[in-house]
Order: sequence, then structure tokens, then C-alpha cells
Amino acid sequence: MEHLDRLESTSIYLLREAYYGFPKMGMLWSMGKDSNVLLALVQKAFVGQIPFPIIHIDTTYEFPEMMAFRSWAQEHYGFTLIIHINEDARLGRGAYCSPIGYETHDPLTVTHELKTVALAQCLREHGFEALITGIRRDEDATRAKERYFSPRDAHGAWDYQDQPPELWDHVMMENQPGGHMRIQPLLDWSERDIWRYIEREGIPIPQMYFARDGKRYRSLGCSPITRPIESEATTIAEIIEELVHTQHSERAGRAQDHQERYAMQKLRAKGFL
Amino acid sequence: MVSSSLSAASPVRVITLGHVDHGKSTLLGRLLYDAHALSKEQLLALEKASMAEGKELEPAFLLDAFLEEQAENITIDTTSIPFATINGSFIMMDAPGHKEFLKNMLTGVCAADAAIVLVSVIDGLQDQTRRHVQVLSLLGMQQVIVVINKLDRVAYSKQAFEQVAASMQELFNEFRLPQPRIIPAAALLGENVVSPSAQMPWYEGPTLLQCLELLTAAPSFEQGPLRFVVQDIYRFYKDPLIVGRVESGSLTIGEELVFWPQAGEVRKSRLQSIEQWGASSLKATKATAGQSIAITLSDCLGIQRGDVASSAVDPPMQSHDLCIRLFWLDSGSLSVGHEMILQLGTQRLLARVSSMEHVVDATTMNVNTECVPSLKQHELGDVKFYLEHPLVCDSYHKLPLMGRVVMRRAHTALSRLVGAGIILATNEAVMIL
Ligand SMILES: Nc1nc2c(ncn2[C@@H]2O[C@H](COP(=O)(O)OP(=O)(O)O)[C@@H](O)[C@H]2O)c(=O)[nH]1
Repeated sequence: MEHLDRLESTSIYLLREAYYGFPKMGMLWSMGKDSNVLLALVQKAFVGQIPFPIIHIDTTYEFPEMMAFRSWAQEHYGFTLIIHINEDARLGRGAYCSPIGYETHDPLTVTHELKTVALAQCLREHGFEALITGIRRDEDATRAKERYFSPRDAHGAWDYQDQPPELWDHVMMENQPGGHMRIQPLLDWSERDIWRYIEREGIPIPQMYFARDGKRYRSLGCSPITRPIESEATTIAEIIEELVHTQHSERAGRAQDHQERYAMQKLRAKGFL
Repeated sequence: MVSSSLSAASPVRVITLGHVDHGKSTLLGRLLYDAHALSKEQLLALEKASMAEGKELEPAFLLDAFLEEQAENITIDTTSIPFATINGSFIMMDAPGHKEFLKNMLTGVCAADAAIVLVSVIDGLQDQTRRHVQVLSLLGMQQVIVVINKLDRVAYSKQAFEQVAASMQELFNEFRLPQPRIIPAAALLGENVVSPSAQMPWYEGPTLLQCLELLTAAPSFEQGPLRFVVQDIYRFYKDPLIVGRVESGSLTIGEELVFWPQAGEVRKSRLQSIEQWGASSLKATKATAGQSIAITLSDCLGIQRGDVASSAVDPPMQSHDLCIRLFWLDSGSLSVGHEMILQLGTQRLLARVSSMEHVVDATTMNVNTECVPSLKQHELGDVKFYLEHPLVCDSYHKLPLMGRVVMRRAHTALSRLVGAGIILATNEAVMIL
């Protein structure tokens, strides 16, 4: 079996297990390349259907081009889209005494409030039992230790010191009281697999991944803290070729990961993706 | 970074096992470092982390990404790191050596195509080494490399190496595993990891990297008898869609499928279509082992999750009585009379322990050939189960994917997997370890 076929089959298997085990489920979608691969896999798993809502945690710091892609995709796929913003944090009301934003706060704080806390609010509001995410083991050392089905407690926290065993394809199908399950069907995929699959399947992605004026985005996050890389790659084939020779890691352009030692671990233990 | 292998082959998943402190994290860190498989950011992080702990370069820090682990210098959970050379691509997994984290080690072994077993030349074979080799044997791991580490501490003595190598060979014989390739190394200094060691002219064999490049990824079961495991039934369209995965063999449109379990009459149905979605797919007429598919049938016969389809020839067993060679993970023991939920594919069945024998003691590794009343944590034993509803399966030695089970305690909320094992054919229910 070809490598991509094997990855695809395992992801579909996991998506179907999730849909069976957690009727109330949603899928996180950041509009990025991995999210769009997930969408394509969902359509394959459910033979053309997207049978649960798609969730965008909107930090209000999205690139305009990504927002345009969001509108396009909503029309193209016809999915149910939930858009959630942590309004209290942005406006400095409720529990917040002043507005949270990149203009006034460091990236770790903003990421925590506008992504992790926003996600927790959205979960509570809709009562989701499970969330599909597009994280991959090769992105980051803490993600490397993840399970396909990864339980979160009532506070959204990840107990990485005591994860349930996952033997062959037997995953944890039960939630802790008040907790939810993270479903991570792309764990085994590498950045290069993602690109090869996008090419093979013709999956639509935002144009910001392709080089313009000698720069392109390799990973997309909030606009104030996401930097493009030097690149001449204007096609997927050129991007794949570039990845073979790069000496930099994928998330090098994402500021919140690098602010301090163990930054990702702290973010993720509290519920960040 | 060494240019990635551009072939379409799957990376080989390699798990590294060994007693704690024998140098697993160091070996993996060194391998990635010497093969130039690290990004600039990873190198920088490694140097920073080493400096923060007052060390020059500590390859082990690369793997121990977790706060708690770095402070105490131990590995809690299996981590995986992709890495490629011109001749191969790999996913290297670092499994914890501590006994408390054996469940995480097992999670890693279940996902691996091959294993490296690391032994320190100073301490020799230890409890965890024995246990790890035992688990590899239980799960039928065919590709194993042994690395005897810390040769620098014994002045690269050939004699010291040979002594430990001989005890490993004996252990592999004892557990009926094929004899492994054995490499003398000093992980910390990179001797025989990527480049051959000038310190050990007496060793003429391959380095670790050369051994890795000879490994192969999981075999396909396309030639085996048909086993299609049903996951769910979708009613999105006019015809119900049966979704699931082909674990072994293949199926073709028009073919007659037989569904299991059966009570009384035979459940047969014709395969009408294989439904696919996506740009790359032409209308499929055939599906083979490994594929997750959606099909329509001439007659749905009350098909449900957990059912298994086969061809008319070479069907699976359907058994009420099973003998399972079981590795027990839970701190509470497993006793005769206990009720468990057995899981195989998508089947979930209530099973009661009726007897157990051939229990291997967790510390002494001695085999108790008498019948015993219970199996304690980290013990291995042949356990007989009685099931009210039959399990559809094959013996592990006939068809591994249909012959391995995991289990949870019944009647317990939030119960985790506490045991994993293989199904023995009735005539195999004698100790073969
Ligand atoms: N002298 C020497 N020390 C080593 C070697 N390999 C590992 N060590 C040391 O042994 C200790 C344990 O290594 P580590 O990789 O953390 O072991 P793990 O628990 O198996 O992951 C560390 O202090 C290492 O520096 C080696 O080849 N030679």
C-alpha cells in the first residue's frame, strides 16, 4: 500500500470511530493547510457529507486573505460554520479589566485568551463531547507524545503524565465528567505528506502558502506574530522540493512557540491545540 | 538536513527499548544529530537546554521535551521523531524504560515495525530488558536490533561486549525470537551510531544507521483470506452505506460476502458497489487489505458494527471459549471469575475469566505451570475466557490483525485498557515461550 493511502485510510478509520463514539462533535478549522486536508478526509470518510459543524476560533487578528478564504470555503463546502470570538477579552469587559490584544500583551497571553479560553467558551456553549483537530506529531516535541484520541478534563487540561494506553487502533471512547475528547487524525502525517496529499487530491488552500515577491507563509497564525519565510516556491512541487532542503522547522515563524523555554508545553497542558 | 528519501514508501517505525539509564534518549539524540536530521531551531534548543542544565551537549535533551522529564532526566511517554536519510525514512520512537510507564511502552510497541533494544555494557541485562524482550516476543516483533552501549566506560573492551552479547543471545533464544544484529556502541560519543568507530577495530559489522536502513515497514495482508470489519452504517443516501476496513484479503464487486457472527442461518449478501468521494478516485471495483471503504450490499441482513465479512471459503472462527496469551497492565490483578470487555477490531464483548495457567512471574520471570487464581501487574499468562456471545477471530499465528485483543474491566466507568494479548489456536494452548 502506498504511504499516502495508508495515512488516509487510518485517518478515515479514526474519523469514523469518533463519529460513532461521540455524536456531539465538532471540527476545528483554522483555514490552514492541515485543516483543509482534514476537511477532504471528512468528506471521504462520510462519502461526501460533512456531518458535524466546523468551528473557527476567530482571534480577530486573522489575515484578510484568510478571511476571504473562509467566506469562499463556506460557500464551496456548504458546511455549518460556528465562528467564536472571546468578545469579553477583546473588549475588556466581564472578567477582563482591559482589552487583550497584541498591541498591549505578549503572544503567550494573547494566544491563551483568544485561542485556548475562546475554545473553552465555545465548547461550553455548544456542549461538544469531542473536537477534531489537525495537529501533527512532527510539528512540535509535545505534540509528538499525543494520542489519536486524547482526553481533556473539565478545565480543558491535558494530563500528559498519565495518558491512556492506545493499543493498535483501540482508542479511549469515554469522556471524564465535564471533559471532552480531542480527536487527532493527522498525528502521523508529516508536513511533506500534507503537501503531497494536497497535490494529489487537488485540495483548495489559501494562496498565502505560495511565494510572492520572494516570500511565502509556511505556517499561518495570527497576523501580528506570523512571519513569512524567504522562498521562491510558487507551486506545490516547489514547496515539497524546498522542504527537502530546509534547515528550519515549520513553526519557526510562529512567535508564541518561542517566547520562552517550554512555552508550547505550558500552552498545551492548559488546553491549547 | 540530509535530503529526505523521496520514495513513496512508508517510513519504518522503530521503537527504542531498554532499562532506564542505559542510554536510549542519548542514542536517539545522537543519531539525529550525527545524521544532520535536526533543524536550526532544534539545534539551538538543544544547545540552550544543555547549557541551562550546565552541560556541553546532552543529546538526550532533544527527546525529553517535557519539563518534568528534563528536570529528572527520565522519559514518561513514547515520543516519535521523523527522520530521513538518502536510503530510508524512519519514525524513531523513544519509549520509557521505567516500570510505571510500561503502558506507554506497550502503546509504542503496538505501533512499531521494528525495535532497538539497548543494554549498557556496565550493568548488562536487567529486569526491564527481560520484560521488554518478553513483550516483543508476545507481540511477534520480527525485526530487532540490539545495541550494547557505553563501551567507552570499559575502554572499548571486546571481551566485555561479547559477554553481554552472549547473554542477549540466550535471552532471545529463550523467548523464541530470531537472533538479532548486535552492535557495540558509545551513544554519548557517537561511536558506531552513524559513523563506524575507530575505537573498536575488532568490530566489522554495520553501524546502527546502516542496520536501520535495512529494515522494512509493515507487511500487507492482501494475499490473506478476506476479513472486512464493519465500523458503522450510514444512512445519508437512499442505499445504506456499510463502512469499515479491509484487514486482510480483498473484495470485488459482484462477490458474495458472508457475514459473521452467525446464529443458525447463513448471512450472505452480494457486494453491489464501493462508494468513494474525491478527485483521485475512479469508480472502484475492488478494495484490498488496509483500505477504509464504504460499500452497498444487495441485502443488509441486519448488519451492525462489529460484524466481520469473509468469503465463502476460509472463514474466521467464531468462539465462545478463547485462550489468550495475555500481558496484564493494571495494578489490580485479574482473577478467575472477573468480567472483562474484550475488544477486537470493532467488536466489544463481555467475557469471563474461567481459568489461567503458565503464568510468568513479573520479577523472577519464572514460569508457573500450575493453574493459578490470578494474574498480577506486568505478568504474562495464558488465560481462558468464556463469552456468552461469540467473538469472530482468527488465531494470531494465522492472521495477526484478527488475532490480537485488548481488554477493559466491565461494569466500570472510564475504564482504560488493562491488558493486551494474542489469541492462541486450541492446539497452541501450550507454553511456547
Ligand atoms: N559514558 C557514557 N555515558 C552514556 C552513554 N550513553 C548514555 N550515557 C549516559 O547515561 C545516562 C542515561 O542516559 P539516557 O539517554 O538519559 O538514558 P535513558 O534513560 O535510557 O533514556 C546519561 O547521563 C548519559 O549521559 C555512553 O555511550 N557512554
